[in-house]
Amino acid sequence: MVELQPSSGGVPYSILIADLLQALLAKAENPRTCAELLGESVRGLIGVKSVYVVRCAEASASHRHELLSAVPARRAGIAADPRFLELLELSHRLERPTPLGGETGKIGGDRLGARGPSTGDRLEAGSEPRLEKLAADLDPKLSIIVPLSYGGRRMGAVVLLGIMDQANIAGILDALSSIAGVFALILRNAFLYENLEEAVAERTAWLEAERAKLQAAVDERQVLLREIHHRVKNNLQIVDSLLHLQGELAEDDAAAKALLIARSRIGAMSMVHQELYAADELSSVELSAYVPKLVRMALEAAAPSMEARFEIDRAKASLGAAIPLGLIINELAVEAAVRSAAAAGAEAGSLFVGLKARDGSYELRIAAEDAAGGLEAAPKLGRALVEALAGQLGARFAWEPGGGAGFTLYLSAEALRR
Amino acid sequence: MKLLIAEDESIIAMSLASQLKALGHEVVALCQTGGDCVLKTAEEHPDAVFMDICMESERAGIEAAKLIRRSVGTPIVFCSAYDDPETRRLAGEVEAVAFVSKPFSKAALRQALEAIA
Repeated sequence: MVELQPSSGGVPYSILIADLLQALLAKAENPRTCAELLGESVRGLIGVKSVYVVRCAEASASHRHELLSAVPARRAGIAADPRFLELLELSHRLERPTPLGGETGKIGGDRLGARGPSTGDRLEAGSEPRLEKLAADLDPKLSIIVPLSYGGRRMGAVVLLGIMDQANIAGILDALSSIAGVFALILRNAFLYENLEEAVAERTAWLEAERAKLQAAVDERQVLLREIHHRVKNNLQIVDSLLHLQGELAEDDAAAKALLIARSRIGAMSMVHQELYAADELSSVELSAYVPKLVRMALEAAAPSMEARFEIDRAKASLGAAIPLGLIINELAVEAAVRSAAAAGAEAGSLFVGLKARDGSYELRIAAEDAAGGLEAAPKLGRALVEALAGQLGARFAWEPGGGAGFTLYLSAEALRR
Repeated sequence: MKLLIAEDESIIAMSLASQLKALGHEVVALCQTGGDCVLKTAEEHPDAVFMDICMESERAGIEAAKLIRRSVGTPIVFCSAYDDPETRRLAGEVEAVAFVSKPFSKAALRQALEAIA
Protein backbone atom coordinates (compact mmCIF):
# COMPACT_ATOMS: atom_id res chain seq x y z
CA MET A 1 0.00 0.00 0.00
CA VAL A 2 1.27 3.47 -0.81
CA GLU A 3 1.41 5.45 2.39
CA LEU A 4 0.63 9.07 2.14
CA GLN A 5 0.01 11.59 4.85
CA PRO A 6 -3.56 12.75 5.21
CA SER A 7 -4.13 16.37 4.49
CA SER A 8 -4.87 17.19 8.13
CA GLY A 9 -1.97 15.65 10.00
CA GLY A 10 0.90 13.28 10.29
CA VAL A 11 -0.75 9.89 10.87
CA PRO A 12 -0.49 7.59 7.85
CA TYR A 13 -3.71 6.68 6.00
CA SER A 14 -3.11 3.00 6.65
CA ILE A 15 -3.41 3.49 10.42
CA LEU A 16 -6.45 5.72 10.09
CA ILE A 17 -8.04 3.27 7.67
CA ALA A 18 -7.38 0.39 10.06
CA ASP A 19 -9.12 2.36 12.84
CA LEU A 20 -11.98 3.17 10.51
CA LEU A 21 -12.40 -0.46 9.48
CA GLN A 22 -12.50 -1.47 13.13
CA ALA A 23 -15.10 1.20 13.87
CA LEU A 24 -17.16 0.09 10.83
CA LEU A 25 -17.08 -3.54 11.92
CA ALA A 26 -18.26 -2.50 15.38
CA LYS A 27 -21.36 -0.97 13.81
CA ALA A 28 -21.81 -3.70 11.23
CA GLU A 29 -25.27 -4.74 12.45
CA ASN A 30 -26.77 -1.47 11.23
CA PRO A 31 -25.84 -0.63 7.62
CA ARG A 32 -27.28 2.88 7.82
CA THR A 33 -25.28 3.86 10.92
CA CYS A 34 -22.30 2.19 9.36
CA ALA A 35 -22.79 4.19 6.15
CA GLU A 36 -22.99 7.44 8.11
CA LEU A 37 -19.77 6.62 9.94
CA LEU A 38 -18.11 5.73 6.65
CA GLY A 39 -19.28 8.95 5.00
CA GLU A 40 -18.18 11.16 7.88
CA SER A 41 -14.82 9.43 8.28
CA VAL A 42 -14.01 9.44 4.58
CA ARG A 43 -14.95 13.10 4.31
CA GLY A 44 -12.73 14.02 7.27
CA LEU A 45 -9.91 11.76 6.22
CA ILE A 46 -9.69 12.63 2.59
CA GLY A 47 -10.93 16.18 2.41
CA VAL A 48 -13.94 16.06 0.14
CA LYS A 49 -16.97 18.30 -0.21
CA SER A 50 -19.58 15.56 0.05
CA VAL A 51 -19.71 11.79 0.43
CA TYR A 52 -22.69 9.57 -0.41
CA VAL A 53 -23.12 5.93 0.43
CA VAL A 54 -25.66 4.18 -1.78
CA ARG A 55 -26.92 0.66 -1.94
CA CYS A 56 -28.15 -1.06 -5.06
CA ALA A 57 -31.58 -2.43 -5.71
CA GLU A 58 -30.16 -5.66 -7.05
CA ALA A 59 -29.58 -6.52 -3.44
CA SER A 60 -32.33 -4.63 -1.63
CA ALA A 61 -35.04 -5.21 -4.25
CA SER A 62 -36.88 -2.06 -3.24
CA HIS A 63 -35.33 0.74 -5.31
CA ARG A 64 -32.77 0.84 -8.04
CA HIS A 65 -30.56 2.84 -5.67
CA GLU A 66 -31.10 3.81 -2.08
CA LEU A 67 -29.15 6.56 -0.38
CA LEU A 68 -27.88 5.17 2.93
CA SER A 69 -26.07 8.29 4.01
CA ALA A 70 -25.16 11.78 2.78
CA VAL A 71 -22.40 13.84 4.39
CA PRO A 72 -23.12 16.63 4.89
CA ALA A 73 -26.70 15.60 5.57
CA ARG A 74 -28.09 18.74 3.93
CA ARG A 75 -26.95 17.33 0.60
CA ALA A 76 -29.26 14.30 0.92
CA GLY A 77 -31.54 15.88 -1.68
CA ILE A 78 -29.10 14.68 -4.32
CA ALA A 79 -30.86 11.32 -4.17
CA ALA A 80 -33.60 12.88 -6.32
CA ASP A 81 -31.21 14.46 -8.83
CA PRO A 82 -31.53 12.60 -12.17
CA ARG A 83 -27.84 13.27 -12.90
CA PHE A 84 -26.81 11.58 -9.69
CA LEU A 85 -29.08 8.62 -10.44
CA GLU A 86 -27.70 8.29 -13.94
CA LEU A 87 -24.17 8.49 -12.54
CA LEU A 88 -24.99 5.59 -10.24
CA GLU A 89 -26.49 3.58 -13.12
CA LEU A 90 -23.44 4.05 -15.28
CA SER A 91 -21.11 3.35 -12.35
CA HIS A 92 -22.15 -0.31 -12.54
CA ARG A 93 -19.55 -0.62 -15.29
CA LEU A 94 -16.76 0.21 -12.84
CA GLU A 95 -14.91 -2.44 -10.93
CA ARG A 96 -12.60 -0.37 -8.75
CA PRO A 97 -12.50 3.11 -7.19
CA THR A 98 -12.49 5.46 -10.15
CA PRO A 99 -11.71 9.18 -10.33
CA LEU A 100 -13.96 11.23 -12.60
CA GLY A 101 -14.23 14.79 -13.84
CA GLY A 102 -12.12 17.38 -12.15
CA GLU A 103 -10.34 20.43 -13.41
CA THR A 104 -8.68 18.74 -16.32
CA GLY A 105 -12.02 17.43 -17.57
CA LYS A 106 -10.59 13.96 -18.17
CA ILE A 107 -8.75 11.23 -16.36
CA GLY A 108 -5.19 11.29 -17.33
CA GLY A 109 -1.80 9.94 -16.55
CA ASP A 110 -0.86 13.20 -14.85
CA ARG A 111 -3.32 12.51 -12.10
CA LEU A 112 -2.91 8.80 -11.85
CA GLY A 113 0.64 8.37 -12.78
CA ALA A 114 1.85 7.96 -9.23
CA ARG A 115 -0.48 5.00 -8.58
CA GLY A 116 0.39 1.36 -8.91
CA PRO A 117 -1.51 -0.83 -11.33
CA SER A 118 -3.85 -2.20 -8.67
CA THR A 119 -5.24 1.10 -7.53
CA GLY A 120 -8.30 2.29 -9.33
CA ASP A 121 -9.50 2.14 -12.88
CA ARG A 122 -7.63 4.07 -15.41
CA LEU A 123 -10.37 5.19 -17.75
CA GLU A 124 -9.14 5.87 -21.13
CA ALA A 125 -9.89 9.39 -22.13
CA GLY A 126 -13.33 9.56 -23.67
CA SER A 127 -14.27 5.98 -22.88
CA GLU A 128 -16.85 7.08 -20.29
CA PRO A 129 -17.60 10.61 -21.44
CA ARG A 130 -21.09 10.53 -19.97
CA LEU A 131 -19.82 9.51 -16.53
CA GLU A 132 -17.18 12.20 -16.73
CA LYS A 133 -19.75 14.83 -17.68
CA LEU A 134 -22.22 13.83 -14.98
CA ALA A 135 -19.51 13.96 -12.33
CA ALA A 136 -18.34 17.35 -13.56
CA ASP A 137 -21.92 18.65 -13.58
CA LEU A 138 -22.45 17.53 -10.01
CA ASP A 139 -19.18 19.04 -8.87
CA PRO A 140 -16.55 20.79 -10.97
CA LYS A 141 -13.74 19.37 -8.84
CA LEU A 142 -12.48 15.78 -9.06
CA SER A 143 -14.93 13.08 -7.93
CA ILE A 144 -14.44 9.40 -7.12
CA ILE A 145 -16.88 6.55 -7.40
CA VAL A 146 -16.08 3.52 -5.26
CA PRO A 147 -18.08 0.46 -6.34
CA LEU A 148 -18.97 -1.86 -3.48
CA SER A 149 -19.06 -5.47 -4.64
CA TYR A 150 -18.93 -8.77 -2.91
CA GLY A 151 -18.56 -12.11 -4.67
CA GLY A 152 -19.11 -10.46 -8.03
CA ARG A 153 -22.36 -8.94 -6.85
CA ARG A 154 -22.81 -5.23 -6.73
CA MET A 155 -23.88 -4.13 -3.26
CA GLY A 156 -23.67 -0.36 -3.65
CA ALA A 157 -21.30 2.52 -4.13
CA VAL A 158 -19.54 5.34 -2.29
CA VAL A 159 -19.59 8.58 -4.24
CA LEU A 160 -17.14 11.33 -3.30
CA LEU A 161 -17.92 14.66 -4.96
CA GLY A 162 -15.33 17.46 -4.87
CA ILE A 163 -11.97 16.07 -3.78
CA MET A 164 -10.03 18.95 -2.25
CA ASP A 165 -6.54 17.40 -2.25
CA GLN A 166 -5.89 16.01 -5.70
CA ALA A 167 -2.19 15.61 -5.05
CA ASN A 168 -2.78 12.57 -2.86
CA ILE A 169 -5.11 10.84 -5.33
CA ALA A 170 -3.16 7.57 -5.50
CA GLY A 171 -3.13 7.18 -1.72
CA ILE A 172 -6.78 8.12 -1.58
CA LEU A 173 -7.72 5.46 -4.12
CA ASP A 174 -5.67 2.89 -2.24
CA ALA A 175 -7.38 3.76 1.02
CA LEU A 176 -10.81 3.60 -0.61
CA SER A 177 -9.97 0.20 -2.11
CA SER A 178 -9.23 -1.19 1.35
CA ILE A 179 -12.44 0.20 2.77
CA ALA A 180 -14.60 -0.88 -0.17
CA GLY A 181 -14.09 -4.62 0.33
CA VAL A 182 -14.90 -4.51 4.04
CA PHE A 183 -17.86 -2.21 3.57
CA ALA A 184 -19.25 -4.38 0.77
CA LEU A 185 -19.10 -7.33 3.15
CA ILE A 186 -20.88 -5.33 5.85
CA LEU A 187 -23.57 -4.32 3.36
CA ARG A 188 -23.95 -7.88 2.13
CA ASN A 189 -24.45 -9.18 5.69
CA ALA A 190 -26.85 -6.38 6.45
CA PHE A 191 -28.81 -7.21 3.28
CA LEU A 192 -28.90 -10.86 4.17
CA TYR A 193 -30.02 -10.03 7.69
CA GLU A 194 -32.59 -7.51 6.49
CA ASN A 195 -33.86 -9.86 3.80
CA LEU A 196 -34.13 -12.59 6.37
CA GLU A 197 -35.91 -10.29 8.79
CA GLU A 198 -38.16 -9.11 5.98
CA ALA A 199 -38.92 -12.68 4.99
CA VAL A 200 -39.62 -13.64 8.60
CA ALA A 201 -41.78 -10.53 9.07
CA GLU A 202 -43.69 -11.27 5.85
CA ARG A 203 -44.18 -14.88 6.83
CA THR A 204 -45.25 -13.91 10.33
CA ALA A 205 -47.73 -11.38 8.94
CA TRP A 206 -49.09 -13.98 6.53
CA LEU A 207 -49.44 -16.56 9.28
CA GLU A 208 -51.10 -14.00 11.53
CA ALA A 209 -53.55 -13.08 8.76
CA GLU A 210 -54.31 -16.76 8.13
CA ARG A 211 -54.75 -17.37 11.83
CA ALA A 212 -57.12 -14.39 12.06
CA LYS A 213 -59.11 -15.72 9.09
CA LEU A 214 -59.37 -19.16 10.66
CA GLN A 215 -60.33 -17.67 14.00
CA ALA A 216 -63.02 -15.58 12.30
CA ALA A 217 -64.34 -18.71 10.59
CA VAL A 218 -64.34 -20.61 13.88
CA ASP A 219 -66.08 -17.72 15.66
CA GLU A 220 -68.68 -17.51 12.92
CA ARG A 221 -69.26 -21.25 13.13
CA GLN A 222 -69.68 -21.00 16.91
CA VAL A 223 -72.20 -18.19 16.53
CA LEU A 224 -74.16 -20.14 13.89
CA LEU A 225 -74.10 -23.31 15.98
CA ARG A 226 -75.31 -21.44 19.04
CA GLU A 227 -78.07 -19.89 16.98
CA ILE A 228 -79.09 -23.32 15.68
CA HIS A 229 -79.19 -24.81 19.17
CA HIS A 230 -81.15 -21.79 20.34
CA ARG A 231 -83.72 -22.18 17.57
CA VAL A 232 -84.02 -25.91 18.17
CA LYS A 233 -84.60 -25.24 21.87
CA ASN A 234 -87.20 -22.60 21.09
CA ASN A 235 -89.01 -24.86 18.64
CA LEU A 236 -88.95 -27.73 21.10
CA GLN A 237 -90.42 -25.32 23.68
CA ILE A 238 -93.27 -24.63 21.26
CA VAL A 239 -93.85 -28.36 20.74
CA ASP A 240 -93.77 -28.88 24.50
CA SER A 241 -96.20 -26.01 24.99
CA LEU A 242 -98.59 -27.50 22.44
CA LEU A 243 -98.46 -30.88 24.16
CA HIS A 244 -98.95 -29.23 27.54
CA LEU A 245 -101.98 -27.31 26.32
CA GLN A 246 -103.36 -30.50 24.78
CA GLY A 247 -102.72 -32.34 28.07
CA GLU A 248 -104.91 -29.85 29.89
CA LEU A 249 -107.81 -30.97 27.75
CA ALA A 250 -107.14 -34.70 28.22
CA GLU A 251 -110.28 -36.37 29.44
CA ASP A 252 -108.73 -39.43 31.01
CA ASP A 253 -105.55 -40.45 32.82
CA ALA A 254 -104.31 -42.59 29.95
CA ALA A 255 -104.36 -39.66 27.54
CA ALA A 256 -102.77 -37.37 30.15
CA LYS A 257 -100.04 -39.94 30.81
CA ALA A 258 -99.36 -40.38 27.10
CA LEU A 259 -98.91 -36.62 26.66
CA LEU A 260 -96.76 -36.42 29.77
CA ILE A 261 -94.44 -39.12 28.42
CA ALA A 262 -94.34 -37.42 25.03
CA ARG A 263 -93.36 -34.14 26.74
CA SER A 264 -90.63 -35.90 28.70
CA ARG A 265 -89.17 -37.19 25.42
CA ILE A 266 -89.13 -33.66 24.03
CA GLY A 267 -87.51 -32.52 27.26
CA ALA A 268 -84.76 -35.14 27.00
CA MET A 269 -83.92 -33.96 23.50
CA SER A 270 -84.02 -30.28 24.29
CA MET A 271 -81.81 -30.77 27.32
CA VAL A 272 -79.10 -32.15 25.04
CA HIS A 273 -79.30 -28.95 23.01
CA GLN A 274 -79.19 -26.91 26.21
CA GLU A 275 -76.05 -28.71 27.37
CA LEU A 276 -74.43 -28.26 23.97
CA TYR A 277 -75.49 -24.61 23.82
CA ALA A 278 -73.97 -23.88 27.21
CA ALA A 279 -70.74 -25.80 26.49
CA ASP A 280 -67.81 -23.94 24.98
CA GLU A 281 -67.10 -26.51 22.32
CA LEU A 282 -70.75 -26.90 21.15
CA SER A 283 -70.06 -30.43 20.02
CA SER A 284 -70.26 -32.77 22.99
CA VAL A 285 -72.28 -33.24 26.14
CA GLU A 286 -70.75 -34.15 29.51
CA LEU A 287 -72.86 -37.10 30.62
CA SER A 288 -72.02 -36.72 34.31
CA ALA A 289 -73.80 -33.33 34.14
CA TYR A 290 -76.54 -34.18 31.66
CA VAL A 291 -77.79 -37.53 33.00
CA PRO A 292 -78.65 -36.43 36.58
CA LYS A 293 -80.45 -33.33 35.28
CA LEU A 294 -82.37 -35.43 32.80
CA VAL A 295 -83.40 -38.04 35.35
CA ARG A 296 -84.47 -35.42 37.88
CA MET A 297 -86.57 -33.71 35.22
CA ALA A 298 -88.21 -37.02 34.26
CA LEU A 299 -88.97 -37.91 37.87
CA GLU A 300 -90.20 -34.40 38.65
CA ALA A 301 -92.85 -34.68 35.96
CA ALA A 302 -94.25 -38.06 36.99
CA ALA A 303 -93.27 -38.72 40.60
CA PRO A 304 -91.72 -35.70 42.36
CA SER A 305 -91.19 -37.59 45.61
CA MET A 306 -89.19 -40.39 43.99
CA GLU A 307 -85.50 -40.25 44.81
CA ALA A 308 -82.62 -40.87 42.49
CA ARG A 309 -79.14 -42.17 43.21
CA PHE A 310 -76.30 -41.60 40.74
CA GLU A 311 -72.91 -43.17 40.20
CA ILE A 312 -71.78 -41.61 36.96
CA ASP A 313 -68.24 -41.47 35.61
CA ARG A 314 -67.17 -38.55 33.49
CA ALA A 315 -67.82 -39.22 29.79
CA LYS A 316 -68.49 -37.05 26.80
CA ALA A 317 -71.10 -37.87 24.17
CA SER A 318 -71.60 -36.31 20.76
CA LEU A 319 -74.97 -34.82 19.77
CA GLY A 320 -75.63 -37.95 17.69
CA ALA A 321 -75.05 -40.24 20.67
CA ALA A 322 -76.47 -38.03 23.42
CA ILE A 323 -79.98 -37.83 21.90
CA PRO A 324 -80.64 -41.62 21.69
CA LEU A 325 -78.90 -42.19 25.02
CA GLY A 326 -80.96 -39.42 26.65
CA LEU A 327 -84.16 -40.85 25.21
CA ILE A 328 -83.34 -44.33 26.58
CA ILE A 329 -82.60 -42.97 30.05
CA ASN A 330 -85.69 -40.77 29.95
CA GLU A 331 -87.91 -43.67 28.86
CA LEU A 332 -86.74 -45.87 31.71
CA ALA A 333 -86.81 -43.09 34.33
CA VAL A 334 -90.33 -42.02 33.39
CA GLU A 335 -91.47 -45.63 33.41
CA ALA A 336 -90.03 -46.12 36.88
CA ALA A 337 -91.58 -42.86 38.07
CA VAL A 338 -95.00 -43.67 36.64
CA ARG A 339 -94.93 -47.09 38.26
CA SER A 340 -93.82 -45.60 41.54
CA ALA A 341 -96.58 -43.02 41.40
CA ALA A 342 -99.14 -45.69 40.51
CA ALA A 343 -98.21 -47.74 43.55
CA ALA A 344 -100.51 -45.64 45.66
CA GLY A 345 -99.93 -46.09 49.34
CA ALA A 346 -96.53 -47.62 48.85
CA GLU A 347 -93.35 -45.74 49.75
CA ALA A 348 -91.99 -43.51 47.09
CA GLY A 349 -89.34 -45.59 45.40
CA SER A 350 -85.89 -44.71 44.34
CA LEU A 351 -84.05 -45.05 41.08
CA PHE A 352 -80.42 -45.95 40.57
CA VAL A 353 -78.59 -44.62 37.51
CA GLY A 354 -74.96 -45.61 36.97
CA LEU A 355 -72.50 -45.08 34.15
CA LYS A 356 -69.19 -46.88 34.54
CA ALA A 357 -66.19 -46.63 32.28
CA ARG A 358 -64.68 -50.08 31.78
CA ASP A 359 -61.67 -50.66 29.52
CA GLY A 360 -62.66 -48.31 26.74
CA SER A 361 -66.36 -49.06 26.96
CA TYR A 362 -69.23 -47.90 29.12
CA GLU A 363 -71.90 -49.66 31.09
CA LEU A 364 -75.11 -47.80 31.77
CA ARG A 365 -77.36 -49.34 34.40
CA ILE A 366 -80.76 -48.10 35.44
CA ALA A 367 -82.62 -49.94 38.14
CA ALA A 368 -85.71 -49.31 40.21
CA GLU A 369 -84.67 -49.96 43.80
CA ASP A 370 -88.04 -50.77 45.25
CA ALA A 371 -90.76 -53.38 45.00
CA ALA A 372 -93.15 -51.07 43.20
CA GLY A 373 -90.73 -50.30 40.44
CA GLY A 374 -89.35 -52.63 37.88
CA LEU A 375 -88.61 -51.84 34.32
CA GLU A 376 -88.88 -55.18 32.68
CA ALA A 377 -92.50 -54.82 31.74
CA ALA A 378 -92.21 -51.39 30.21
CA PRO A 379 -95.09 -50.46 27.93
CA LYS A 380 -94.93 -51.71 24.43
CA LEU A 381 -93.81 -48.46 22.77
CA GLY A 382 -91.40 -47.57 25.56
CA ARG A 383 -89.68 -50.92 25.40
CA ALA A 384 -89.58 -50.85 21.60
CA LEU A 385 -88.06 -47.37 21.67
CA VAL A 386 -85.38 -48.37 24.19
CA GLU A 387 -84.39 -51.42 22.16
CA ALA A 388 -84.42 -49.58 18.85
CA LEU A 389 -82.30 -46.72 20.24
CA ALA A 390 -79.85 -49.21 21.78
CA GLY A 391 -79.53 -50.77 18.33
CA GLN A 392 -78.98 -47.30 16.84
CA LEU A 393 -76.09 -46.82 19.28
CA GLY A 394 -74.67 -50.24 18.33
CA ALA A 395 -75.00 -51.24 21.97
CA ARG A 396 -75.85 -54.55 23.62
CA PHE A 397 -78.44 -54.47 26.40
CA ALA A 398 -80.04 -56.69 29.01
CA TRP A 399 -83.31 -56.48 30.92
CA GLU A 400 -82.81 -57.67 34.49
CA PRO A 401 -85.59 -59.75 36.00
CA GLY A 402 -86.41 -59.66 39.67
CA GLY A 403 -87.45 -57.24 42.41
CA GLY A 404 -84.78 -54.65 41.66
CA ALA A 405 -85.48 -54.99 38.01
CA GLY A 406 -83.32 -52.90 35.82
CA PHE A 407 -81.77 -52.42 32.48
CA THR A 408 -78.11 -52.45 31.46
CA LEU A 409 -76.67 -51.00 28.27
CA TYR A 410 -73.16 -51.88 27.09
CA LEU A 411 -71.71 -49.07 24.98
CA SER A 412 -68.41 -48.77 23.16
CA ALA A 413 -66.46 -45.53 23.58
CA GLU A 414 -66.73 -45.09 19.83
CA ALA A 415 -70.52 -45.19 20.04
CA LEU A 416 -70.44 -42.11 22.28
CA ARG A 417 -68.41 -40.19 19.71
CA ARG A 418 -70.60 -40.96 16.70
CA MET B 1 -99.12 -13.56 42.93
CA LYS B 2 -100.02 -11.30 40.05
CA LEU B 3 -97.75 -12.14 37.14
CA LEU B 4 -97.14 -10.60 33.74
CA ILE B 5 -95.75 -12.53 30.77
CA ALA B 6 -93.70 -11.02 27.93
CA GLU B 7 -93.34 -13.66 25.21
CA ASP B 8 -93.58 -13.24 21.44
CA GLU B 9 -94.39 -16.90 20.76
CA SER B 10 -98.09 -17.04 21.51
CA ILE B 11 -98.19 -20.82 22.06
CA ILE B 12 -95.37 -20.64 24.58
CA ALA B 13 -97.11 -17.69 26.26
CA MET B 14 -100.40 -19.61 26.50
CA SER B 15 -98.72 -22.70 27.93
CA LEU B 16 -96.66 -20.66 30.40
CA ALA B 17 -99.77 -18.78 31.55
CA SER B 18 -101.63 -22.04 31.98
CA GLN B 19 -98.81 -23.58 34.02
CA LEU B 20 -98.48 -20.51 36.23
CA LYS B 21 -102.23 -20.52 36.82
CA ALA B 22 -102.09 -24.23 37.67
CA LEU B 23 -99.49 -23.34 40.29
CA GLY B 24 -102.01 -20.94 41.85
CA HIS B 25 -101.05 -17.58 40.39
CA GLU B 26 -102.87 -14.90 38.40
CA VAL B 27 -101.59 -13.85 34.99
CA VAL B 28 -102.62 -10.21 34.51
CA ALA B 29 -101.34 -9.66 30.97
CA LEU B 30 -99.57 -11.28 28.03
CA CYS B 31 -97.26 -8.98 26.04
CA GLN B 32 -95.50 -9.75 22.80
CA THR B 33 -92.86 -7.01 22.88
CA GLY B 34 -90.51 -5.52 25.41
CA GLY B 35 -91.97 -2.05 24.85
CA ASP B 36 -95.52 -3.25 25.52
CA CYS B 37 -94.30 -5.07 28.59
CA VAL B 38 -92.82 -1.86 30.07
CA LEU B 39 -96.16 -0.04 29.59
CA LYS B 40 -98.29 -2.93 30.91
CA THR B 41 -96.03 -3.39 33.93
CA ALA B 42 -96.51 0.28 34.83
CA GLU B 43 -100.30 -0.11 34.44
CA GLU B 44 -100.84 -3.48 36.10
CA HIS B 45 -98.22 -3.42 38.87
CA PRO B 46 -97.62 -7.20 38.79
CA ASP B 47 -95.58 -8.90 41.51
CA ALA B 48 -93.17 -10.17 38.86
CA VAL B 49 -92.61 -10.29 35.11
CA PHE B 50 -91.79 -13.50 33.22
CA MET B 51 -89.71 -12.05 30.42
CA ASP B 52 -88.54 -13.62 27.18
CA ILE B 53 -85.24 -12.10 25.97
CA CYS B 54 -85.35 -12.29 22.17
CA MET B 55 -88.56 -10.56 21.04
CA GLU B 56 -88.77 -7.57 18.68
CA SER B 57 -84.99 -7.40 18.92
CA GLU B 58 -82.35 -9.86 20.03
CA ARG B 59 -82.15 -8.41 23.52
CA ALA B 60 -85.49 -6.62 23.81
CA GLY B 61 -86.23 -8.45 27.07
CA ILE B 62 -82.99 -7.24 28.66
CA GLU B 63 -83.71 -3.63 27.60
CA ALA B 64 -87.30 -3.81 28.85
CA ALA B 65 -86.10 -5.31 32.14
CA LYS B 66 -83.63 -2.44 32.60
CA LEU B 67 -86.39 0.13 32.16
CA ILE B 68 -88.74 -1.73 34.49
CA ARG B 69 -86.07 -2.15 37.17
CA ARG B 70 -85.20 1.55 36.99
CA SER B 71 -88.79 2.75 37.07
CA VAL B 72 -91.18 0.54 39.03
CA GLY B 73 -88.56 -1.99 40.18
CA THR B 74 -90.71 -5.08 39.52
CA PRO B 75 -88.79 -8.38 39.94
CA ILE B 76 -87.90 -10.04 36.64
CA VAL B 77 -87.74 -13.74 35.78
CA PHE B 78 -86.02 -14.28 32.46
CA CYS B 79 -87.38 -17.14 30.42
CA SER B 80 -85.17 -17.77 27.42
CA ALA B 81 -83.69 -20.36 25.11
CA TYR B 82 -80.57 -18.14 25.05
CA ASP B 83 -78.94 -19.68 28.07
CA ASP B 84 -75.24 -18.92 27.73
CA PRO B 85 -72.79 -17.20 30.09
CA GLU B 86 -73.06 -13.83 28.31
CA THR B 87 -76.88 -13.78 28.43
CA ARG B 88 -76.76 -14.88 32.07
CA ARG B 89 -74.31 -12.04 32.78
CA LEU B 90 -76.68 -9.50 31.20
CA ALA B 91 -79.54 -10.95 33.21
CA GLY B 92 -77.42 -10.57 36.35
CA GLU B 93 -76.84 -6.90 35.54
CA VAL B 94 -80.57 -6.18 35.88
CA GLU B 95 -80.70 -8.29 39.05
CA ALA B 96 -83.16 -10.83 37.66
CA VAL B 97 -84.51 -12.99 40.46
CA ALA B 98 -84.38 -16.14 38.33
CA PHE B 99 -83.41 -17.42 34.89
CA VAL B 100 -85.58 -20.18 33.44
CA SER B 101 -84.07 -21.94 30.47
CA LYS B 102 -86.38 -22.99 27.66
CA PRO B 103 -87.82 -25.52 27.30
CA PHE B 104 -88.83 -25.05 30.91
CA SER B 105 -90.02 -27.68 33.35
CA LYS B 106 -92.65 -27.34 36.01
CA ALA B 107 -89.89 -27.67 38.61
CA ALA B 108 -87.97 -24.75 37.09
CA LEU B 109 -91.10 -22.59 37.15
CA ARG B 110 -91.75 -23.54 40.75
CA GLN B 111 -88.18 -22.60 41.72
CA ALA B 112 -88.50 -19.24 39.98
CA LEU B 113 -91.75 -18.50 41.80
CA GLU B 114 -90.11 -19.37 45.10
CA ALA B 115 -87.28 -16.95 44.26
CA ILE B 116 -89.80 -14.12 43.73
CA ALA B 117 -91.54 -14.79 47.01
